[in-house]
Amino acid sequence: MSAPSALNVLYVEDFAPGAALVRDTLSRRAPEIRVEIVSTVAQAIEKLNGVEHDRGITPYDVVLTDLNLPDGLGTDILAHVRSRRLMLAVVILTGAVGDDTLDAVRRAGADGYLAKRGDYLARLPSELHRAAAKR
Amino acid sequence: MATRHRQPSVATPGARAAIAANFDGDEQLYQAFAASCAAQFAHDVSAGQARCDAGDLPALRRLAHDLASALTLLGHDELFAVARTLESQAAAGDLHSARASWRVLRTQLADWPPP
Repeated sequence: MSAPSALNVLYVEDFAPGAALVRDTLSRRAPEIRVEIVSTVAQAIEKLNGVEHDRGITPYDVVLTDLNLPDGLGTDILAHVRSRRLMLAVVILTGAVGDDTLDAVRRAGADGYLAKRGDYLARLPSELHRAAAKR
Repeated sequence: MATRHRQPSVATPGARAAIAANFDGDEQLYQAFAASCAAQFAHDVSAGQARCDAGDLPALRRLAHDLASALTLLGHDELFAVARTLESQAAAGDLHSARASWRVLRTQLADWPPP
């Protein structure tokens, strides 16, 4: 079986323990996934604005973002990625448990979404690889 | 001087269940997260109080949301329910009820982790 392909992930999370948890989990269980962490929508967009817009190429394969951020929503980042036609996947993490929220994320066109409960940490590496493969 | 925190217990039934259900049995990962949360909660107590005093319900709702996510992962179901209630009250604009819920949450978080 071949080794999993390397992935570069931009992770947007303002809750420091949550960011560290995902970083530690991926470092231990999926070392092929490199994570860069920012904490606001504005910082994420600034990172993404550093790419070659005309070709949609970015240094990232996936943006993994929390839904609720200090200056907006993870879906704002998703909208930015789609409007600029950036060639990367967007996976949304949400601590909200309501079906309404998950439906809204689904309708917004995310490549994947995970609720922060149960076995989401165990599922995260495969979810990131699956989302990246769609792009 | 650096603040010292008690080591979070992994021996409580809630913690054991959380390690099995949320951390795939990885006790070290749970402990690292719990220690990180303990440091964060110390900041959140003062931040939450300031938001409560200012009546800043959107900011209080975001804080409650983060706390609820952390508390359920840690296996503190009762306090998770308080945080979730606070989040709903803040979202509904009910400052009076939100302040009452915040007092409950603040008392527990100020002495975190539980003995």
